[in-house]
Amino acid sequence: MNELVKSELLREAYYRIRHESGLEIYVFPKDLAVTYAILATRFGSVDNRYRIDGGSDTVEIPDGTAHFLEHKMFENEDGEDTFQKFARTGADANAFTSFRSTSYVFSCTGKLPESLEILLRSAFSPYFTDMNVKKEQGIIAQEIRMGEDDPNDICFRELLCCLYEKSSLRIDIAGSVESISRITPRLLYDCHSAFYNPRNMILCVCGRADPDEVTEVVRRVLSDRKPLEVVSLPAQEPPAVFRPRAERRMKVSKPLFCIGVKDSDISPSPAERMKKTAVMQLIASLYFGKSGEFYNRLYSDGLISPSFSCWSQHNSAFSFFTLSGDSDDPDRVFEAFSSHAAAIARAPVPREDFERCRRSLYSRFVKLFDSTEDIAVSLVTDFAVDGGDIFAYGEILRSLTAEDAERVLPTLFRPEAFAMSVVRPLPTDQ
Amino acid sequence: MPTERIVLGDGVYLNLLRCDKFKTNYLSVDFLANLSPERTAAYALLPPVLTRGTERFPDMISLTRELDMLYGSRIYPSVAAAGDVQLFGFTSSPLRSEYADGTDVTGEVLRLIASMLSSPRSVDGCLSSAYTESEKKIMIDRIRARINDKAAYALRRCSELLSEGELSAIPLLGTEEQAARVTAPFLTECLKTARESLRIELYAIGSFDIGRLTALARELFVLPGRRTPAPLVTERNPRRHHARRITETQPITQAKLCLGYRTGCYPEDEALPAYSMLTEVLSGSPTSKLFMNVREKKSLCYYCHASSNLPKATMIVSSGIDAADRERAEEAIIGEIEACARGEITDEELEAAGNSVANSIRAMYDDPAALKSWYLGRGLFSRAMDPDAFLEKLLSVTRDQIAEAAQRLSLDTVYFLEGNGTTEENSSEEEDHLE
Repeated sequence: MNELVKSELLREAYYRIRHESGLEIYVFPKDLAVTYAILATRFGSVDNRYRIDGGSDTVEIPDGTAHFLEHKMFENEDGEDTFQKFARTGADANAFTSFRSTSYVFSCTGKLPESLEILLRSAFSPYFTDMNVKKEQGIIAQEIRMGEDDPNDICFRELLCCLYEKSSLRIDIAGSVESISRITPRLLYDCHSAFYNPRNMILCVCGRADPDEVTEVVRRVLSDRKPLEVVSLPAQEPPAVFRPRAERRMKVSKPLFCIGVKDSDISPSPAERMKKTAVMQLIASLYFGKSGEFYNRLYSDGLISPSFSCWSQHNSAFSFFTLSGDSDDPDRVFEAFSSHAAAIARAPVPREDFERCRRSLYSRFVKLFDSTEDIAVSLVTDFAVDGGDIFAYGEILRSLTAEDAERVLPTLFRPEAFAMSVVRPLPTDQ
Repeated sequence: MPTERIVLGDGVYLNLLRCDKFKTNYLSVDFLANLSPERTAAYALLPPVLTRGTERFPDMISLTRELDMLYGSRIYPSVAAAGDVQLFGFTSSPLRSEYADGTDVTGEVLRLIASMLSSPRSVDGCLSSAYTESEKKIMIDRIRARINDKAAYALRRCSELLSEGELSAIPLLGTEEQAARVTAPFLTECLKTARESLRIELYAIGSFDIGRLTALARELFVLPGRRTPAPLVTERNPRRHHARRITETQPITQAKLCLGYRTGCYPEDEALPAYSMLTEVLSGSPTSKLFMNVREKKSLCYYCHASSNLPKATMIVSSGIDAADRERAEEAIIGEIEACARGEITDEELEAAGNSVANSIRAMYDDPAALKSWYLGRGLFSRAMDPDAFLEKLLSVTRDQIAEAAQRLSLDTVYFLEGNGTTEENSSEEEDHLE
């Protein structure tokens, strides 16, 4: 199947191809210097229980396995690291793990087929030994420790621990020193065959790329792969917040805060989820953005600084809305947020402001199409991983109405769904 | 990509890079001044204060709403340093008219920036003291918050130690005390100086009507009675220390080790391509020596990379390590540099460095902000070569030339930031000393 998907609005188009191995392929031609490729698997830190192909066995894996696997995938049986292989083609490669997916990426300014072949071969040829797993445990333990020194990271992680009781969102993406110590080569091979099967994966190439050239490389590497169904079985999460408040003390110059709103209203339809994602983005910009009364009042009162930000995540696995920043008085920020949220949950959405914010959001969305990296990463990790489509999202942003927001507001802003995490300076610094 | 540099007036330049592959244009306005204890904090504070409001759009609400109407444009305050020079101003990426229902968003945004300079929110000719005080508080918080990112903090401390006693040791936002002294009247005077007698560099990258843009920029940025800007200077200091050691402590779990080198290679030096290739061989790619050998093979650190300050001819290798590995990590890093000096660079390493540098330089052509920094930053100290012309020079560098560049490195300062085994600061005086 090879389908050309066009957006007249954006004056862009991409090819969508379903390879016989099950791999979902997107080729997005773009006349820029850099060509960017991303290969993602729907295996992130929240996926710590799974079942294969209608079988009855549920497999539980230690926290941090997806991230650990990511670290190990660039090691090869021939002793040559994948980075070394990329060094020969000049591609700049990287990998990252999020809550929902693991991505392997490279950017290049030439030799695309060669680099693409390296990427695919590396992702589909696991090589784990007792020795290389043990060595990685040391490296990742360092990474985990470094995260423990980052107050912003800690503040956000503590917020997730407030919002969630059972979900693996509570755990750092890298896991803990204890959990990764339980990882073995066998376990990694099992996870690889479950989650790194092409049917669970997406490839996108954006830039000077031709669909035939890309599919030819895929055919070479994946001709003998059989599609396999893997079902992630995340823990059932109750709708209520686990605890409303967390506090830590760290070496910071000023208190940091993260306010969160837990949302359990998640539609099974990808189109509905995209629409709600857009509505939540719009609410963030309309009610908590720089052109809004809330931001300006708190800014003038010296309660927040330009570091203040408001954003949300909405997908099939979880949904939350968050405000973060630094403040001398996080409690007052929380009070201001609570009363503002209560007021906007009930009031009609101001039509003119809505229209202005919608237009601004749409314009910023258009700007994303100036970068092959932004296009490829967003197309895959924001949309395809969750069953969505980047052009459809553009259409949604064009046609969103105030009524759409009015339907979401009352269910989103319920006081019992609020929580806050604060990182305060150490006593000696006060 | 054709570039044009147009003299609009005394010390006012418009730099044009034309291309039509983007949906947005890139605009920036930079004022250039030498770093100074008296003015650096004020100059850093000017752009954020000016983006708070103008006569016509007196507060952030009305200003942001206007920008929303200009197709979601944003005007960002900016501040940077190159050598002993501070650059402050604004950047924006307005949507091209083809994607904005034919509206000339670029021209409108340029007008808005100009109005921030010519008619900012003022009371009796003086900039708003409310805005000044509120932005000052935020800037002081930012200065204090420098301690939050430990890796960046250690790198900056090492850099300050390398340039002790020079203008470039002045922090980009000034010190907390310097910032605290800035008042609205003083800021008003700084704005006047900036408009009348600082060098102004405008950049426009993208697709536009050159004649119209040039006329508009001249009208908006060349004040009658402008004076010739004072020349910008960057002090040069050769080697001063022989591997002096400075250790500081903080309640952290991962220690930071920074090795500060003098490179002996200034921007106009013919050896610049060789020196650039040296840094590439050391840490330009994941197959580079520091990453591959110190991090991957010896597992001595989580990160390890070299960063250069070209106008000051310094290089810092910074790493995050276990405190217990300090000596081994230091030896390993120095060992890699010595290997380069002996010419022990494999064909593969050389090829990988060339590939990676080619990739990153070509990629700049997709990134208008990177192109602007390239031309503006390099143009301050020597004739800025086009990135692809410089790439050609890089790719013709030989192993021997890289070895010679490595031989010129001399270790000046070793900075070590270690944990004190607690979650508390060891003493508040230490903190004062650090700052």
